[in-house]
Amino acid sequence: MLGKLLKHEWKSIWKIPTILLGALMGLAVLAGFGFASPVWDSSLDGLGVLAVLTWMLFYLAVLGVSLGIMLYLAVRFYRSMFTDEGYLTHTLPATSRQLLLSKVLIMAAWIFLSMVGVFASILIVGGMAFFFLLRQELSWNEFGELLSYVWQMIHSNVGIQFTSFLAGIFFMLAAGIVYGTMIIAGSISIGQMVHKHKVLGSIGAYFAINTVVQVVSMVIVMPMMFYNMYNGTENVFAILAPTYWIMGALECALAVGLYFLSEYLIRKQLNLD
Amino acid sequence: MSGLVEIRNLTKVYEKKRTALDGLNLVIPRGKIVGLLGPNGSGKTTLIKILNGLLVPTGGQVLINGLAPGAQTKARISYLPERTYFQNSMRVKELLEYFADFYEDFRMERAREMLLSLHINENDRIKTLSKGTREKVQLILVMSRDADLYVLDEPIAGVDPAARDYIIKTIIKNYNEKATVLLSTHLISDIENILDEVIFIREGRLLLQTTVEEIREVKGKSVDSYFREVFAC
Repeated sequence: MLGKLLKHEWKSIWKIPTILLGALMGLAVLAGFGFASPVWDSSLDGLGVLAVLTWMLFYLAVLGVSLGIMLYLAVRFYRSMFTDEGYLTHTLPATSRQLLLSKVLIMAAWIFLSMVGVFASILIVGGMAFFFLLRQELSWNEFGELLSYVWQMIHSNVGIQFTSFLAGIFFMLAAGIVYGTMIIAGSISIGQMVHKHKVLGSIGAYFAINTVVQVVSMVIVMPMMFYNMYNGTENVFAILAPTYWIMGALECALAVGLYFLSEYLIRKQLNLD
Repeated sequence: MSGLVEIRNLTKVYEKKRTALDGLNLVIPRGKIVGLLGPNGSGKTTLIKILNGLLVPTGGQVLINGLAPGAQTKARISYLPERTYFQNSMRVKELLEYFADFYEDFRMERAREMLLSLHINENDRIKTLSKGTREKVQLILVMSRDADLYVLDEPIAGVDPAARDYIIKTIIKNYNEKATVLLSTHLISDIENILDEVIFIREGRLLLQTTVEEIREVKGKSVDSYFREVFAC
């Protein structure tokens, strides 16, 4: 049953995020070709400002697409679970666990894909900018050597902490996907308890959960950072790495809590209008 | 023979202490078309939602085929709510595939036949259909299942008389004779000819459960007239 639910959930969601990510890729290619313009070879004033503006516009597009996908996933979850569509969803021969799992797994998959999409679009713009602007001064081989040199410099200067720092970042990104999914599902499920204002309740729950997370993470992380700084730890990676691990672990724990709370609310407190 | 649905001391209290069902006891038999009748706010829709697992009761017990509402009972109940539940971007044929995938008792050929007879194109998107056509599509999906229990909430409300006739014919023609149809409506005169039994509920309590024949023979009235007498304001 879970397989069928996943299949139909994917079918009901894939179009809009694909269009948004496709648009972002198109924009990245366009922005990349923007760097092919002869204007960059001229000695016009304000070229630096133009470059910054181009990157800022691209950054806004990235932000718009990421937020757009998150918002779309939230709306689809809300509509399929708690509006008229819920009359079909909740009368399928499936358990509440199967229903919720299918929704959050597909949501998590799309949050992951949107991260990959955003990363790929940055690579496209960066790669094309490099190709058009620096190709006369730097060959691909030289560019590769430069990257390798930078990597070695960082690694030899900061040592093992850098590996731990990178692993921390990846762990936090993975935890971010799980937490990003569950804060959407959890907030909307909690919001349904406010019977007359379900959408407002969901938004309120979202901000309340986020505030709690910010406060808790500050309470945990700040003393640690101060301790490191007080003890004269100058290596920024040594200070940041444990922070990322702790933040990631906190997000994972909260995501698990929100999952079980959502499942309970859907199983025991469901009340479709 | 035990009933298909057994309801014992069922209570549902909403927020602000509003009681929708108040210790309801009821047995719904197999193989009958049963009218669930009562004025607005009598608890009909609440009962229907509980049967379908869309609401959790405050107290009491509901058994369908001896099981509490859950995944297994949902596989055997075909439910027509009083609202349309489609995702508007879907095509009719996608809905057919959806039902065929999830419900083992869904009969694709029967659904296609009914769609054809109503000239509904399978390739049409739901958002392009009129409200009446959407309701017909929903009824076709529900009646294309070989379920044990069909629960139809206000199936003929808000449609023209010709569509009403079509809906009633569809129900009679397609329901499995070993199954029970539980039908809630205010338009009693339109459906009383197809009913075997009626259940009257008021303020969440059972007022009467009897056969249509008995109302006609003993009371000497139609169900519609008797309903008006019992629930006179």
